[in-house]
Formats: sequence, structure tokens, C-alpha cells
Amino acid sequence: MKNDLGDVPFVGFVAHEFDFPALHGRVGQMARDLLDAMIEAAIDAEADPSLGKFCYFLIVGHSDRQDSPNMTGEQRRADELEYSTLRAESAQSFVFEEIFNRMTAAGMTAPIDIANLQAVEMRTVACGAADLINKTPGNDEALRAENRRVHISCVSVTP
Amino acid sequence: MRTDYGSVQFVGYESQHVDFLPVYQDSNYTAQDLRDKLDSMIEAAVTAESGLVPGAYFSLLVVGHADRVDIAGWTSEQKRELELTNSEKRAEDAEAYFFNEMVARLTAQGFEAPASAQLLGTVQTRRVACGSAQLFFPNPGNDEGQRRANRRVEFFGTAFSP
Repeated sequence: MKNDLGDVPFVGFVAHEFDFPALHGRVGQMARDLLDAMIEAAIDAEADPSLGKFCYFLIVGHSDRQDSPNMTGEQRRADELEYSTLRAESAQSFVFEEIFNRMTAAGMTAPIDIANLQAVEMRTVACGAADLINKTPGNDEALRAENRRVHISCVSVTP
Repeated sequence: MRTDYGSVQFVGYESQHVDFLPVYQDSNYTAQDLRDKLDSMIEAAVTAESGLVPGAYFSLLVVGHADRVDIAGWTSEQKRELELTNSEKRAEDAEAYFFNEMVARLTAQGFEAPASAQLLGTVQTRRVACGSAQLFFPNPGNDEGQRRANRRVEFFGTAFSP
């Protein structure tokens, strides 16, 4: 049975910030709880892969548009892609470390890295500034912060 | 157990074209090994959905990409919007191709196929549209070969079995 655990946006990175744990500490409790449920589902699956439980994460990173007048169009696009990549990777690391730490704390043998997960898949996609929430944010930092985000979605499967 | 089918990329869309099949069939851009790799993903998804292997599950991600729009007189917002739309439509059509292939193969084998991708039981499909965020050629100019390489879709597949 598929259980869609949703698509949780983590919004509000500061310009050129990509540290997901820092953002995680600033977002609302609801987003943290939803991510927590995803992590627990992953631990439940990974604890005993022979039980046929699986978990699939998709982490999509986004940037605000880079409007620096000192950059060429190519430099702007590269900057946007770089930070959306770093945000997605930081979020992925956070999720894996949570899985690892919680499994270890519970006395379970945790996989040493993401590649060694048996019942959990994590994919990241970097979207640069292709999909802006606020298309013309101008000098409004709040609007720009909304554009800087990661979306974490998860589907768990049980037999 | 998790089996990573990796990714397979199909490049070579004509400008403003979003249909996957012509790219899939164009041997100038699509080598047989790419078709074979996609075929192995489709077969894994068919196996999962058929129920022949209890507990088997398949997850598909389709990522769509656009070339940069350089139409003179357009604003950057108009350009970004068209890039995103084209990448969305490419991902949607590629996902539809994958689903239709699944339906055809399931039906041919005597299984009942779902009416839509959303109704798949043990196969999960997802799409992401990247606009022109990830260009193979950041500055293609008037080189149509480079622009076609920028227009592409990627399939990522993962199979799980107990």
C-alpha cells in the first residue's frame, strides 16, 4: 500500500544560504512534524528491509532569481543552479543524518551512507530559479526569501 | 532490496516541441542503448504492477528541461515562463509515454491495466520541471545542435523488492 506523506516546502533561506539544518530550526512546527513523520517512516522501512517496507524521498532545490547587474546571464544562471543544488544536497544530508542518528540511538545498525540504504531511496533535483513563487520580487527580501526553498516529498510503501 | 536503475536521458527536441515519441524514435539523437535502458525500467514497472513478484515496487522520476529562450523583445519573466512550460510539457509527455507502454504490455500479458498513472498500485511516478536551469550548453547562440541538446528529458528509476 502506497502512503503519500506529502510535499513539504521549507521556505526562507537567506541570500546565498544553503544550510538546511539552520533553516529547519527557523521554520514552523508543522513542517518539522511532517518531515519527522517521513524520517520515521524511512527508519521503519530501513530497520528490516526484508519486511517489504520502502520509502522514496524526492528533494527539489530552488533559488531566487539572481539579478546582480555585475553578472552576465550565464553567470546568473550558474549561480542560481549552484545554490539550488547546494540546498537540495544539504537537505538530503540532513535527512540521512537524522535516519542514521535515530537508528544508532535505538541500537539498530544504520547504513554508513546514502548509497548503502536498502529500503530508502533519496533523489535530489536542482531547479535553479526556473520555478519562482514570486516572479518579480524586486527589492522585497521577503518575496525573495520565499523563492529560496527546498521541497521534500516522500512516499512510503508497506506490504 | 533496492535496485537503482540509474538515469537515462533523451535529448534532441526541436524548438517548442514537447512530444517524446519523435525524440525516442530519432536515431540521430537516440541510440539503441538508451531505448534499451528505458525498456528495462518499463519492464521493471510492469513486473511490479502485474503483481507477479509479491512486494515488488517501482518508482519513476521524470525531469524535463528546456533550452534558454532568447527571443528579442521578451522580458526575462516571459522567457522564464516559456522555459518552465516547455520543460513541464516534456516531462508530462515522457511520463505519459512510459505509462502507455506499461498499459500496452500489461494488457498484452493479460493483466488489467489502470486507467491513469495516478491509479497505479505498486508503481509511483513523479515529475519535475527544471526550465532552463540545467543547460548542457549555457551559451548556444545560433547553434541549433547545441540548443537541441539542451531540450531533453531524464528518467530515473528505482525498484524495490523484499
